[in-house]
Amino acid sequence: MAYNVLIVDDSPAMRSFVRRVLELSGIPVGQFLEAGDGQQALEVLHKQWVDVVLTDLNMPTMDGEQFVRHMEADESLRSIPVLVVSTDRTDQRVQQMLTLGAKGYVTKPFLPETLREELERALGDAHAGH
Amino acid sequence: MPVTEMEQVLSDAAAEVLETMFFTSLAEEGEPVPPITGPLVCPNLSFRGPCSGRLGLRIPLETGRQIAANFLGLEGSEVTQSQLQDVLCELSNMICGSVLSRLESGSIFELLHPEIGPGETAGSPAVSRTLALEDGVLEVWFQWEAAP
Repeated sequence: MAYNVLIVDDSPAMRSFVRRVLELSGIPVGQFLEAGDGQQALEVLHKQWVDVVLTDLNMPTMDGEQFVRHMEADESLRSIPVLVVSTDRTDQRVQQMLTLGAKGYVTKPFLPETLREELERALGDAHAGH
Repeated sequence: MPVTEMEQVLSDAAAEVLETMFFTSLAEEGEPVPPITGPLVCPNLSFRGPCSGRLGLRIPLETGRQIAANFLGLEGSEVTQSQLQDVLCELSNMICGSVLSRLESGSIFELLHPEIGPGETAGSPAVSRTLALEDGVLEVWFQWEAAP
């Protein structure tokens, strides 16, 4: 099975980096989709099936926290696992995002294997839940 | 926090970020630190939380180009101006996150969007550390309004 992955980050360089890490990780990816903020990401999600979302927090227009709140409030999006990928590694922020519904939290800087492991765990949990 | 400890925090945070995601190592300890000369790229950002302030970098263009190339998996000559600025802004963002978590791991900070600036700190107090890299040099500076 190949997964459709949505990468949400306002930095094109960061989106490119995450994409390269996943391409080298061995995780079967069907399609990479990208968005520059939460609003764009919601538009993508309403047009296209996505298996997992990786989102930054600090973004213009709609930040990652608002984006996760919108996904949790939308019955059609709630089951899609979300991994937060952020520079913000304070304990309070991590707990806040996990409480809001994120399935994992990866802090930047991260090792490629850390991102792969968190993604596999999130995808595994999502499948176990179906 | 004493200035020397703060300098060490800046150094440790920058080293962690550069080595983990930018595939850029610091020079061996004891190596001379080259001067920061030539055209510079100077990303910086503000943060707000229990203390507020700014963190910034001063990076010679060629060092910046090499860091961006490492991050993007490109040759230095392939890196565009837009990519260079984007990557170095991301670098400043990650170093700031790392510094703040070392100072106040239990607090929530808001990091504003990094921007390319003139490269000079405004106001004080400010602490800076110049780091020799295996291939280049950069300076990281940090200033705050309430002592961390």
